[in-house]
Amino acid sequence: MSDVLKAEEAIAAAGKTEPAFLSHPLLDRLLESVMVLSAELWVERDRRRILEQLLADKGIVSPADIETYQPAPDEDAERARLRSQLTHRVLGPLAKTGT
Amino acid sequence: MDRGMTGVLPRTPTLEDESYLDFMEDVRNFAIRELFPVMSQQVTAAARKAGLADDGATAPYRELGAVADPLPLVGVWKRIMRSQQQITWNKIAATLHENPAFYEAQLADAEQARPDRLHYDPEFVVPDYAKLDIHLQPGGYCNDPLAGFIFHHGTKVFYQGDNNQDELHHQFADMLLEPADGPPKRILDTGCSIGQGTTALKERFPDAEVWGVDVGLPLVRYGHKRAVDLGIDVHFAQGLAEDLQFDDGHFDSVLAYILFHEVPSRLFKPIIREAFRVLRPGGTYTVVDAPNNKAMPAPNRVWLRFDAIYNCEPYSPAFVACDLPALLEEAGFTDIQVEMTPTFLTRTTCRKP
Repeated sequence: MSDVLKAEEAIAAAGKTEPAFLSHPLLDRLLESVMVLSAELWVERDRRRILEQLLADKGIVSPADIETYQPAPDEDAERARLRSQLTHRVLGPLAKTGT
Repeated sequence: MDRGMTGVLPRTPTLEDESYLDFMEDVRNFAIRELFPVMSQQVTAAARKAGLADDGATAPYRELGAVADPLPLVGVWKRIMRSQQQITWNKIAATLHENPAFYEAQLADAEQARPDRLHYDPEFVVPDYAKLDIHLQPGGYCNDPLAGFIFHHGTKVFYQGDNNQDELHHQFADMLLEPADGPPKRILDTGCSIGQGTTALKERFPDAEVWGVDVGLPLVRYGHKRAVDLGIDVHFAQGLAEDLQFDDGHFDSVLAYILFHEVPSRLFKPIIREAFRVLRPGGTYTVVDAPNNKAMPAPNRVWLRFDAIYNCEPYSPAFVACDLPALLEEAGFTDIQVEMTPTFLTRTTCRKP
């Protein structure tokens, strides 16, 4: 049996401050991923904010209608598919061999 | 805003939280299912190149860390895993804390509706070992009154969609070993957390008196609220598995679902001793937890070490290294059986003679 990492050692090793794991060009790629993600997020948010504002102003759809909207099962599957696509677009490069 | 339920899963307070946590669930899936296998190949190759014993499977953690940690992909994986946890917890906790009175009122209402099903002593002292922010959950299980709500939304992400309707808890409740003389009439769920297993046990054994005990008062209060909402009649109590407030021989069956790896190793024997004490002769003890006393490939040991240090799971490696069947036998249990479940967990069952 291999040795045991003791609880006190693990707690001490965790330290009080946020650890750094990266010190390599991969850091750049990760940062790139974060930037892509942030951009995608903002594009969606900004568009949605305008859309919601317009819909509310025109009395078509209220914010509460959107918050409480319950998707149909097949619609949920499509949401999951699109979300997964985004995950792979943003994080996929990190899994490429050779990194 | 109350956005209702999806089956037995509460929807997050806002649509934004739902989308955000869904995304974090995908990130976790990606890190575990796609990034970790690539990382594993690199860790194994590096361990072999460094000449570590058994490709790192039996090398001391310090030596394995010295080989694995400099690998860039190990750093990326760790950062994604840790940040995913932090982002998830912080996001949902922040939303809930915008309106704590709303959630406190839900707990209080349930307590008022069924005061006879929730048991705690205001003088109860939480041991230091249980005060950590386990899995990085802010405030842990004991220091945030809304910990139960936070835990439920956060662990939905942790279980990667496999437990949205308590599927895993039902699976493990189904694994509870029945006494030889028939279904249990009194069942104890030790380390019950928010009581997903406790209610699943009641659903399997509708005629039984079922108790869930956990050190975290916010968790058992939430578990109680949840059971009241679901109309499932179970008891919850704040308490310690190593110091149970029940008479000798009170229970027919005791379950410990992922309890042991969250407590210091010095408590393994006292916890098993207490389970033995509160079981009647012929009673059964079922433990579902991480596999123990088994060789583990180097990449999995890298993960275990990461979890211990950077995901606040400091007690886990000592449990993984222990010999649970030997401890059960030493306490007097017999008919000890160990089997791997379809999940990442092991089921160990035994009987009190």
